[in-house]
Amino acid sequence: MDTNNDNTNNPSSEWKSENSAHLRDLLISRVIDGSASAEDWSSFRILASTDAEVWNDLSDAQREHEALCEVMHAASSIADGVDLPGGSGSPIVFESRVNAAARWGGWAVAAVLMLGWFTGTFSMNQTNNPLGTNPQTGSMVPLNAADPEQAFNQYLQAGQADGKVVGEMPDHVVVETRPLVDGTVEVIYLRQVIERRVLNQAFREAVDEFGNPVVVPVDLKTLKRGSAF
Amino acid sequence: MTGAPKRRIRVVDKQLKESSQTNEQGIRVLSERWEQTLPIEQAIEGHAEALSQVWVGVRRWVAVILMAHKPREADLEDLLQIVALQVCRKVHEVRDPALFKPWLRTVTINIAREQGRKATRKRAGMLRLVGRGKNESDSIGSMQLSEDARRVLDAALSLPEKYREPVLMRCQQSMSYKQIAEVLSLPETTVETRIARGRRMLRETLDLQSKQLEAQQKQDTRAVRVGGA
Repeated sequence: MDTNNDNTNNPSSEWKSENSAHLRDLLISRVIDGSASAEDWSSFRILASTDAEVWNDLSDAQREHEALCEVMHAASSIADGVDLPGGSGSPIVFESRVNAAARWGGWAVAAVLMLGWFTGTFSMNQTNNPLGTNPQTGSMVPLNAADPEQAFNQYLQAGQADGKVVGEMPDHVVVETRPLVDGTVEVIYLRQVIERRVLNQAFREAVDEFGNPVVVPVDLKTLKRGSAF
Repeated sequence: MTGAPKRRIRVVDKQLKESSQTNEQGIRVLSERWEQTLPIEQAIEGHAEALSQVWVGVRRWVAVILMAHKPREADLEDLLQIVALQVCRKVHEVRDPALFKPWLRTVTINIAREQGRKATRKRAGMLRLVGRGKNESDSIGSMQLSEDARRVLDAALSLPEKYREPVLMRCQQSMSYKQIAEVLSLPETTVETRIARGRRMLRETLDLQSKQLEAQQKQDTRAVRVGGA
């Protein structure tokens, strides 16, 4: 706890004390916060009459406060977009969804269950692709008219043609299964696509001696096959 | 002092006083509403709807605490989501509703530090494409900060921890000294003192930076002149 708290209640009576610098800070702060009382204002006027510099300090402090308010406004707008996971519903479902979301969110990935998956689209037997993808061939549907599955397949096809997509992992990571009232089961799962890029320059992130993030160029010649950056 | 400056000071004085009173009233109204609308007890008992309401009431100051403690490169939105999850999973462990806010602050700080470290390690090992590097102090989420805001934020983040948090919280609209005191588990007077001192330290830091920059610019100009001669 701070030691000077006893001086905050009656600033005007304390001007000549050794804590006048502290009280000066308090008065400026109260004016900025809009919490200055009539007595504070009176003290402020007395101070300003002997030390005109206080106006400059007030002006600087006000400007800095507004700049920080701008930052906090930005932070608030992000916070306003973050709701609790799961939404409403029974507490059990709520809790299980939370746990599931925690797992697939990458926060406790080790707990996920891997299940083999078989669909017409992703059969290992139907493709020569080592990763087991077999994007549907045939006529391309315009993207704005495509359903999600068609759009995803178009992305895989175009990506493979372009060389940017290597393929899709045959196994899907199951995040949650939940029986529904009509006897069916809802499955929430993760699809994993392997992409590739050819680079002539690469950087890795590092931290300098002051703790600031910096990017460091990577010498591509020294990279060994399969090494991470 | 001449008559003209005195008049000017009186006018400024009056304007500040009026705007302060308006701010103060607004803050009081918002504070009262804030206090009344948080069904913390029901949230602890497991009511999902109540928990959602509580989250909406606290998420802005959670964002501020994250801003005060997270590493610069850690993503604010990611951390907010992790805090939201933790709230869902652990809120039932809070034994006294009065302890909810300090508990949430502790959870938030732990997440900011722990997840921030993880994110730093993870990103350090990842390949970054040219131009993809992101500095949190340049923008908050998708909102680009002004030059002034960036400079002041950097200075604020360099303040000692016990000053940094209340100074930033006070910039969060509608958080009164009382509310900040509740979150930080400190007396209101201590909060006020820390805010006032923190603001002075911020002012001094920025002042020092300006002087150093000015000196550097003069030195550069002199070097150019010598070089030119």
